[in-house]
Amino acid sequence: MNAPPTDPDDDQDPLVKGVRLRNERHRRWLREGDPSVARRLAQIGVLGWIIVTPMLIGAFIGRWLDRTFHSGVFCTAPLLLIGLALGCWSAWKWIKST
Amino acid sequence: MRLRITTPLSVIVDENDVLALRAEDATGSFGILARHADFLTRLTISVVGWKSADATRHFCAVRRGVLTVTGQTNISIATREAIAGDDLAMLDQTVLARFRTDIDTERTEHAESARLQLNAIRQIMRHLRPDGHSGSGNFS
Repeated sequence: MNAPPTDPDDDQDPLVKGVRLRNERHRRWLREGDPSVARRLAQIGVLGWIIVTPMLIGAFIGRWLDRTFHSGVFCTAPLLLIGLALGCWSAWKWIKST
Repeated sequence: MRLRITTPLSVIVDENDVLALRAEDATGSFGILARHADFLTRLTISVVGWKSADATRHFCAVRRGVLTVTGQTNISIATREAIAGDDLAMLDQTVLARFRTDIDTERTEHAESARLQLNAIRQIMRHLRPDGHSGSGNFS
């Protein structure tokens, strides 16, 4: 008979260790396994919105300022570029954090 | 597919309608689907997992063993020790609990056999001294 461990709380039994190892692998796969296609698309979509949203906000504020001061595109262009820079910077930060 | 997991003393799992099975041998993890070619391999200490027809998953920890696939639909695993469970996260606790009950059983059996032996010796002694409680008997 294959000798069972003498100590019932013996965690060093290879069977117990094997089971724990596989459980850990399974959990890790659930946690950081291959993300689905939908999730990747969502990631890309979020990245796009992070860049575009500050640009749009900048453009709208610029348009409103230009309309109130009748100054052509004096405010719209710089605010649009500032929005772009802000968007790129936050996108970069977001990519680094994930 | 039909799956049978047997130990020398009992049949642990005997299930029809298994859709897929995963196991591990020395070369790593592998899967078996229906209509697999005949196959024979030696399992390592690992966890065998399979999916039933009702899409539930089941697991069984095996202490080595031999896996055979015959007739495209029969999987049989012969192993020294197998402990089945439905939850991989709780399987280590199940295994430990099994160890404990095994040890308890063994202890009880040991006590029982010791008691039996003592009884037998007592019977023999009584038989050899029919007069009963004479202190120094015929043996001295």
